[in-house]
Amino acid sequence: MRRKNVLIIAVILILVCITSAAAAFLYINVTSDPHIGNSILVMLVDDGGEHEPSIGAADFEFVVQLNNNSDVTNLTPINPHGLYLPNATPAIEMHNVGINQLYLHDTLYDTDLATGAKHAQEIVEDDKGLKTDSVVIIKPQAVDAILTSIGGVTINGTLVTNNSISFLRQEQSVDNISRADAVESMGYAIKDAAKNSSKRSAMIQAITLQYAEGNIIVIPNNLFYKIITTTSMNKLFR
Amino acid sequence: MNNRIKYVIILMVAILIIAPVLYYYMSDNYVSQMNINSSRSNNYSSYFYLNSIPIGEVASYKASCKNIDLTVMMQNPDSYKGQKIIETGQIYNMTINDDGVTEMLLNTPETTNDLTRLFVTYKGTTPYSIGDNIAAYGEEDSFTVYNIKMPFLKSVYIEKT
Repeated sequence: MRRKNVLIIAVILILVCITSAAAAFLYINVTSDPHIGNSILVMLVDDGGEHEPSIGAADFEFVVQLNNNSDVTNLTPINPHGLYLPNATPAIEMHNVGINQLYLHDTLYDTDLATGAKHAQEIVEDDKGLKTDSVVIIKPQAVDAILTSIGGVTINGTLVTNNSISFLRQEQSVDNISRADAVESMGYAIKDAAKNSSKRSAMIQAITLQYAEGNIIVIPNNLFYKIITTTSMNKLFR
Repeated sequence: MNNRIKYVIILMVAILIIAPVLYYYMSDNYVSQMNINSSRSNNYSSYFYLNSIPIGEVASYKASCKNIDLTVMMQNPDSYKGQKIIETGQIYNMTINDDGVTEMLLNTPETTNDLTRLFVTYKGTTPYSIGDNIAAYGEEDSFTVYNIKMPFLKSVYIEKT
């Protein structure tokens, strides 16, 4: 009887040790990755109509640089127009429309996302000298959901509550604003709106939901939880 | 303290420690995001090809294919989606992807410029090279680049002509 009790206690202790080790590993893995705070390439893609099948053409990028305290130190907009990877070739069917270089705009077409994101990082590093540690791909549905979650934003006197792609196209074609300026104005409007703490929490909730639905993709894919569980997200929107 | 109570307390502590870890790994978000990422990657690449057919089925498959004028297909690529077709022509360009899929551009009898080259895929490698004349059998589908929708052939069998 006594031996049986000792055995039960031993089994429980072993289980506790294994679980504690797993929890510690998870905690370390989630919270202390040195790559979180350095540099993130954000790719905004279109609604997928320009390149099918594909997550979408990479219409606009920007690089977010953070310091070791996860404060945003720099935000560099990148217009993909004309940027390409010299030593790579595009999908062969691109030749049909006269595309013979792997342009940043086309990096996510006909490839797995990890490879496409890697090519995008190489192009940005080659052309702009900006080395990035991770990539965040954002579909228009996610931008719309974020806008809806905060009740919309006012940009140049227009209230934008959803359909961000249409608004950005209109800014370019009707108001004759450059793509960089159009995206930047929306980005800063969202950032300003998030200064309101209730809007910020609604926005972070929307971001988490959009990530779960696949409208925000983070490469490497375990990084999202690291970003969410550290203070980066809050600081980004402050 | 009664021994049985001690065991119950130890067991509860163990469950309290184990539960959050299990919950994290089994949570919908964790699992669904892993699935989304892997299925997305697979969908985009697998969209472009079909499995090749066994040798024993080649004769009947070939008999079920019909030739459609490429310029006619280009007018409405989606209306031919899934139809079994045969296209002939000379290999203008060819590549073998890292995943072992062969992709080629074919100069067909209807080809007059870049836009009228037929994109042909084949899951596997072939003994053919640029300049060879071939006949490709498979199903029609479409892709879009720069808002231009074009037909392509997901071939399941290719032979030299």
